[in-house]
Amino acid sequence: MTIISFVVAFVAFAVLAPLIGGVIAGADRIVTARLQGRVGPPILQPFYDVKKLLAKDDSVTHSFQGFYVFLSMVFTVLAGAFFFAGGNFLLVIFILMLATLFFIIAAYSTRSPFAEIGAEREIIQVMAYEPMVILMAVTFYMATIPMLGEGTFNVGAVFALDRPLIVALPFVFIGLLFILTIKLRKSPFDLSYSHHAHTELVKGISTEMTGRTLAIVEIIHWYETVLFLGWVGLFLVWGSWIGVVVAIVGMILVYLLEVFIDNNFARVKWQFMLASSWIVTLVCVAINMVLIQVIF
Amino acid sequence: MGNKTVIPFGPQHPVLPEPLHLDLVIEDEKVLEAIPQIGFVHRGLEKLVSKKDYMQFVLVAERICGICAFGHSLGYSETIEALMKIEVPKRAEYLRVIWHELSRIHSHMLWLGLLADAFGYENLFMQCWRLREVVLDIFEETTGGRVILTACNVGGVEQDIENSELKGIVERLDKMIVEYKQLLKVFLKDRSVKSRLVGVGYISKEDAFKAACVGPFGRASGLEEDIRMFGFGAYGDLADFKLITSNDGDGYARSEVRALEIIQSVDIIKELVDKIPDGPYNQKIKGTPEAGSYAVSRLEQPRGECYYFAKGNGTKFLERFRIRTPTSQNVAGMVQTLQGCDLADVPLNVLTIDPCISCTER
Amino acid sequence: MINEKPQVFIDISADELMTKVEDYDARGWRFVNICGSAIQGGVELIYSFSNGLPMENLRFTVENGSTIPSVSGRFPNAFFFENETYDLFGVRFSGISIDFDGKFYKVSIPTPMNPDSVQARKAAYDSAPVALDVAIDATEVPIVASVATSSDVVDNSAPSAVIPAQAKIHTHDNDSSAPSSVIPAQAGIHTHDNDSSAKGDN
Repeated sequence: MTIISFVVAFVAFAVLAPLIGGVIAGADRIVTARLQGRVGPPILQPFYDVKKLLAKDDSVTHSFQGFYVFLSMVFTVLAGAFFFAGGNFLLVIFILMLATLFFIIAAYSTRSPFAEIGAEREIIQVMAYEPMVILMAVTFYMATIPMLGEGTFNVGAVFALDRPLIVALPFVFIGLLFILTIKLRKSPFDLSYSHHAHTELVKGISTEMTGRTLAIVEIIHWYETVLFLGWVGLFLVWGSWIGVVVAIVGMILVYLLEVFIDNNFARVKWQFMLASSWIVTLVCVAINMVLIQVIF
Repeated sequence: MGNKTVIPFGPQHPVLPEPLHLDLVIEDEKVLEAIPQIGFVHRGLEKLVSKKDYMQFVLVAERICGICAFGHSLGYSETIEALMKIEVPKRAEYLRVIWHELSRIHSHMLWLGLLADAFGYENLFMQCWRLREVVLDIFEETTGGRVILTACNVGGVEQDIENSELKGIVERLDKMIVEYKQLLKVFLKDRSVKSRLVGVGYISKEDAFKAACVGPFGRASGLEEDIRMFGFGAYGDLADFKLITSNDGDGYARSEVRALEIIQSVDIIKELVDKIPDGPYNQKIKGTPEAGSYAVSRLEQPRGECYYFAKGNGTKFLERFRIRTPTSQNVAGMVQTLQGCDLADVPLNVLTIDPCISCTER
Repeated sequence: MINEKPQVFIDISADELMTKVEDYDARGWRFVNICGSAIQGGVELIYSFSNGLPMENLRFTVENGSTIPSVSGRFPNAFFFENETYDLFGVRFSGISIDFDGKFYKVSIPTPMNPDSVQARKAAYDSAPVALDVAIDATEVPIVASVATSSDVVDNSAPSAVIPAQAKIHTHDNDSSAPSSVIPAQAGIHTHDNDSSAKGDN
């Protein structure tokens, strides 16, 4: 990964990802509406929403909140840029954690009780999915040892493979799908910030965010969607262009699965979310590590 | 040892169906105590009896609440009829009960949708309300209004429904019930729904009796009281009336009781449509309530037992009219369920009493 | 068919109220309603009790400015109606389990359904047995849950500041069952200072 490739990836990600993410979000709303027996909004609706939010006045309770959210967006873009430039996976994870941290601090910086409890729930969510994400990086390293000859954390190494990673890491993929529901903020795990303001915490972590700040929150969500779908694609791509096609098809199918799950489950409490994600993480990673040692 | 936060819940909150204010003292997402406050929708409607005569007041009584609208006009009419010793034609009684049971169906469906929304299952919410539209369409075709019906008045009903139309209504309800039963399977058997409802907001039978809980809230804890079983009006002509109760006393039991009451209401409507007699459906009322006359009446509204009291003073304006709604009784029970519950359960506990604060505060 | 709902009205005197109420409680009847109605010089109160189909209504009158004992120790759901009757008619009840002190309905004119009673209500309030002149310092003091051991006097020893107080809560020890009231005992908060200034606006 050179400086040039990083800069190119940064610009491409910063510009293209919101467009793709917005279209995905619009498609999400249409599919959800059809599943519920409604018609749904036009597919470009998220862009209209963000445009409206940007035009609103900012009535903030604490002026630093907008700055924290903006920083959160900057770090998300950085993480995405590193990922799509083929950089170190651990670095991507840690920059993403920093972005989430800034988002949580933004919620704490207001003194609203709803935002505080939403932020606490967000921390619990991070505790739920972070083990899986880190262990995903670890098993990535372990899988590249037999497949490439030398272990690496660099994401770009998948283009040198002759088989997709999912062959070696099927259970880790299943674990990733489980926590993807938490990261994409879909039922049953949309505890802290749901797109529907009917949670008991008004709007949870983003209760006090209005106007331009809320527009940035929406855009962060688009960036994250593209990034996490990229993680899904990581498992499905390999050295030839067929791999890229398979990865894109796989990403679409996984996202449709997430929308389907969202529409079929009620929200659960945080105790269940924490317990179930840790159990799934433990089981999947343990089995997969044994698999790698035995088969490869 | 954690620190306590006070969360002001309401009166404006997206998950609350009605404006109610609760100060929740919580510690680590567990509610330590909750103090309710109401008074945000008090319009002083009971004082309007001095301005509107007893025939006009039925319109005011109907507009006390949107969901229980027909119930209040029915209760008011029955009370004035008891006050002035008026006899209501048989056909009018049957029509009143048919509209009242339709009102119960639409109210319970609305509640099921709100409950699903409160625990994050929007799909179920949309489907429930889609089925509710069938009932609202029936209301509009028979009375002209979807929510405020203006169908009941002192002495009878405003307009008639022809027998052929009644049969058409029964067919539509049958079709709706088939879809509804599929929805019911999800509601009562889905695991994520059960994890949010079972064991939540438990009240034992003794506590429910002490706090005088009424309606489905009390019946889910095992209290066996339903005004319909006493057989007033057209209810007396039903072949039998089985109480729907449960002994579990938690949120799941209350949902089950209300969900099954919808099916029971459709059966009641079917039976009454078969038995409805022909005849007049209203009458001309002359005279005024005599001075010093008192009357009380009770009605089983979707939310529970509603009590009406009227006092006449010889003029065409009533001296006093009082409505005591079921929610005012259930508030004590609600506060008891809120002690010690999780924060995530607060909207569920508030919803399972089916609050109708606009009726309560008039 | 005339609606044959039972209409039983029993006229009693105000002193007999508590004995009758205890009798209904002992027989397991349910408390239904308190209805007030303004008459010349006072308020006519109707207490309704029911036990399945039979329903009995006790009817008596009180004068403007009088105080009658609360039944919320025996029937917890009575607190709602007693607060409402105080707000709308000016009849003072002593010892309500959750007492909103006149702020239940937030009416804009005092006792709107009984206009004669404004002056009488003020006099009754100032002389009512529950009036206390202990001011609580409402700063950062955490809530301390304590069980009030006295039967009808409000426990004012443990202050609580977090609730923006309108309500004071009593426990009643005249019940034999273990949770003596629906609302467990908490310290009472008194806002008499605020209240007297608000009442001065009459």
